Amino acid sequence: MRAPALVLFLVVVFGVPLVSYAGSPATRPKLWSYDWSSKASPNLAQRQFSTKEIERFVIFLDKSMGHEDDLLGDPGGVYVCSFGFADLRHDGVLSLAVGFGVVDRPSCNTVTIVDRTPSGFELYDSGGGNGSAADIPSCFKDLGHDGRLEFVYDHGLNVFPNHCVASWATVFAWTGRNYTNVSHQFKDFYRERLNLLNKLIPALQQARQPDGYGLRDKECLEAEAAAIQRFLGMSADAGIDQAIRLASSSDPLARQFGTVLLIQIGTPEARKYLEKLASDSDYGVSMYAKDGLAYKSDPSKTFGPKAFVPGGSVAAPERLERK
Amino acid sequence: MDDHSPIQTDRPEGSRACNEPSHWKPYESFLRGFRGFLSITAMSGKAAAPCVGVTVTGWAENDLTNACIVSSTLKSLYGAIAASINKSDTTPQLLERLAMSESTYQQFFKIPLAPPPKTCSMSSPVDGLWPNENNVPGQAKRGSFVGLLQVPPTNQTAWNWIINVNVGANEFQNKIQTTLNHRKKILKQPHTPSLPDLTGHQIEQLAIGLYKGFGRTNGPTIWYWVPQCSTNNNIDHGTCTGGTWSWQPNPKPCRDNTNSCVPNVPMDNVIVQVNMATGATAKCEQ
Repeated sequence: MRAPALVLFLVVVFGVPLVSYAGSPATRPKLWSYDWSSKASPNLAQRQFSTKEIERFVIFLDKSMGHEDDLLGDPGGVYVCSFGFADLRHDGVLSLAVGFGVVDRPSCNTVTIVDRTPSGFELYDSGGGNGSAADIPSCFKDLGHDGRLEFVYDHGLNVFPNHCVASWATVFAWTGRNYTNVSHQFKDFYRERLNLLNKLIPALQQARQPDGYGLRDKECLEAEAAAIQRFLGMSADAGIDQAIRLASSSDPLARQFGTVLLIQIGTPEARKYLEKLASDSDYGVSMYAKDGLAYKSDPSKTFGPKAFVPGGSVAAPERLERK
Repeated sequence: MDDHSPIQTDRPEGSRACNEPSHWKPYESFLRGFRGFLSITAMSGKAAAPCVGVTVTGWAENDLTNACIVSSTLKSLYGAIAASINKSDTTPQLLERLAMSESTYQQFFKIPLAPPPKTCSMSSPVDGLWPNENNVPGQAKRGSFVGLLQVPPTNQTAWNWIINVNVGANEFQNKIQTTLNHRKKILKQPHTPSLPDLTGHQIEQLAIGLYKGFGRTNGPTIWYWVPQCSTNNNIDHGTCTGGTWSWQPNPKPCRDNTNSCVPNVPMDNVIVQVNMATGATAKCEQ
């Protein structure tokens, strides 16, 4: 069957909007034609792939979608930091999640999930804090203990330069049309983290301990604990005292950290402080405050994006049955 | 050696054991790939020699004299990079400002560090001047990047600021080259009427975005500047009917390919982060 006819056939049969049809069999990477079923023996999660093989596959998909501006594989551009396969759609077919970074830079901060569908491949993207995509297999978690995997991704909360980084883990799950933020369904996950933080913070010692935390991390851990309290509805302005204290500091780096906390708290009182900070003598503080004021206050933003961003699809002629 | 001059101490590998004088404390960094035992004292705020076999080239904290030495070194390094851009409007102080935004001009900072290597007898943390390591949350390790220009860690880039800035300058040169390749690719695409070339300053801003770790999202890179048709926001090349092509700040400057940078408004915004770097004033800027 000729390619255009096949594409038309797939559109008619499956009703899927197909962005593109990808090349001749000779140019396709191996992953294209593997069996993506979790029941395959061995399945993709059990096979060994190099990051270069994954890179070639993603480049192939990108090119099939007409992305000219793709720095993946460029020596000074983008590389694959980490990847993993898991049944993220809970339908017996594996998905590939790939983390990307910029060569030799603090990054590993964006992720693409590639799903094999009956009509081809669909891509979904998100971006997070530096290091969030450095260990993709650790993002696959069964938080509900029901055999259905969630994708737990650290979107980052705030950075206190030369001190610490505050994290925010967002829980995503396949909800039929996209990977959606379902964090609110897993409040126990956040309660457990809050309990841990409540134990950890008072016990912090000056030097970092084997768990990786020391007193230098205190502001970040407190910021995370306050964000969880806001998320759980315990207090709408949890953390505002810390934010105001830091935003009033003589240290511009502390003021930058405090400014971002105020943006995230987003209450009228917090925005009142942001208005003052917009004329701060430190360029970074004033820029952050102005940037924060430019957007309508939405404290729920702190808790991760609503969903992944659909990144397009590529038609594959080989039909795949899903459960 | 006094408090105000760069410190350069050579000690041959293995010349000092970890249990020698009490102010020589063993050090096991979070730094990836470190080998051997490293040490630095807190005495008088000075960086000092390592426990075993590493050359330290550093300076006392917050010292303006040495900041001026750093600034002139960075300016000199950027001269060669700017020449490769081949534009008249580049920014001579760019590498200085980049270092300011990357590390607040600190190759080392004062921090207590522990634990020591298992083979060393001294275990108490040392509140001293240690290499300025980056922090990252989650599963990734701290210390994947280090020093003035936050480059991948080696004994050399961690303990010798001169090597650190040379490696960083080389990395930035790579980002400039990647940016120039990108410019070539974009300008080769059909644009009617024609898309003007980038200015030197715009090329610098694009390269800083890469240096700041803004890479792939939805395939395309999160660039600071993107081609835009004045009458149709949905195309990036082709015929701009009734309008003109120009380079405009990316309308989706965030890591999640949106304009709202959830949840971390300024950190994930390439425009804010690049402006932070170019708008910084380095210590003793040259």
